[in-house]
Amino acid sequence: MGTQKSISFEMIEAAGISMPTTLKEVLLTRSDLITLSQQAHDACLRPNDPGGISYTNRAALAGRIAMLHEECGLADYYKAMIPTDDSATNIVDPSIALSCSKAVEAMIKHADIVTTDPKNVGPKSIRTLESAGVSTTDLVRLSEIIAFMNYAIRVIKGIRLMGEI
Amino acid sequence: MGDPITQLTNIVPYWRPRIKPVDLKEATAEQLEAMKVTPSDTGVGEYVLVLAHDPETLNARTPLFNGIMYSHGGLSRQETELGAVACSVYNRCIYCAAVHASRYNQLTKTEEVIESIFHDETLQSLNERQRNIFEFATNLSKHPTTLDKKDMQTLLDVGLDKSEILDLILATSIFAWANRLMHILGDPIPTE
Repeated sequence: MGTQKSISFEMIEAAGISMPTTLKEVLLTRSDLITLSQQAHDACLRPNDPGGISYTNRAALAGRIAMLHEECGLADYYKAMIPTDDSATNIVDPSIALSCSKAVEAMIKHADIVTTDPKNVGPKSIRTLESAGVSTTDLVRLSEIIAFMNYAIRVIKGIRLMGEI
Repeated sequence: MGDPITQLTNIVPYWRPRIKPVDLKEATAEQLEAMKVTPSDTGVGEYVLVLAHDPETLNARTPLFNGIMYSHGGLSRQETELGAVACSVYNRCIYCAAVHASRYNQLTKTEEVIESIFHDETLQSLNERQRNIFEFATNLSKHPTTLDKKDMQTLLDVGLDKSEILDLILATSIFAWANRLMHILGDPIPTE
């Protein structure tokens, strides 16, 4: 007797997507890939070793990238992971001016441009992060968080649209 | 070594990292595990060695990427590659575009479709199904908020079923990820 397959990707629920049976049946054909997406989410948002990017700043970056894609429900979900008295809550809203350390500010600006206009990101962007004090390891961690969110938000939007047809 | 390539090509370039890769001799057990390195294996590419700086994510990403690109059933291999090409062309990730354009050409044994995607905005050599797949993937890559259910209906109208549409969404989206690593962390360099 095999185990019951299920759809376990917290971003689906966090984005407020309802799951009619017809949509669920389609997603179940790729339940392995949905589960792997959740594992990638965990590696980016709550890794065992967060290095120089705190869990709070990871949630703030995820929320901000959700906002840049007009996914307010998702943005609120990540914002709720940040303690309310922490100024990192402001990072989630791109319309609020940044007031954080030089390294965090450089990381956020990088996240914005890589999300919205990746084709125009040249070698200079890496040098800017390095001179703001971001280590090589954190640079890769940051790149993965940004890139993962750009993946996941497209999957979420696609799944939502699939539920409408 | 030459300057980075700026034009789309189906000849796979060398990927030159912009940051220092992990030194294989100094890699931790977790990094080796994430890179799937066996003791006799010394041929690990620089891209994987760069990503090994974050072994937890690499460990999750590799099976996801392979599962999306090479799983059986659903969207055909060549149409999966078409989604990858559309995203990489839109993001101007020259390296990813070259790898997946050349795979597409190998799988289909033609060059007209890629030629048209690279050099002809009217996409003349694409049939209706190819064109709709390409345009959907481009729009999902560009700014996914502009998509609506009409775009989904168009895919159904040209004959994709829902599991093929899901695969197209996954294939395109995984390149929103891959492009943001390849194009940001390195440069495509001519091999000769």
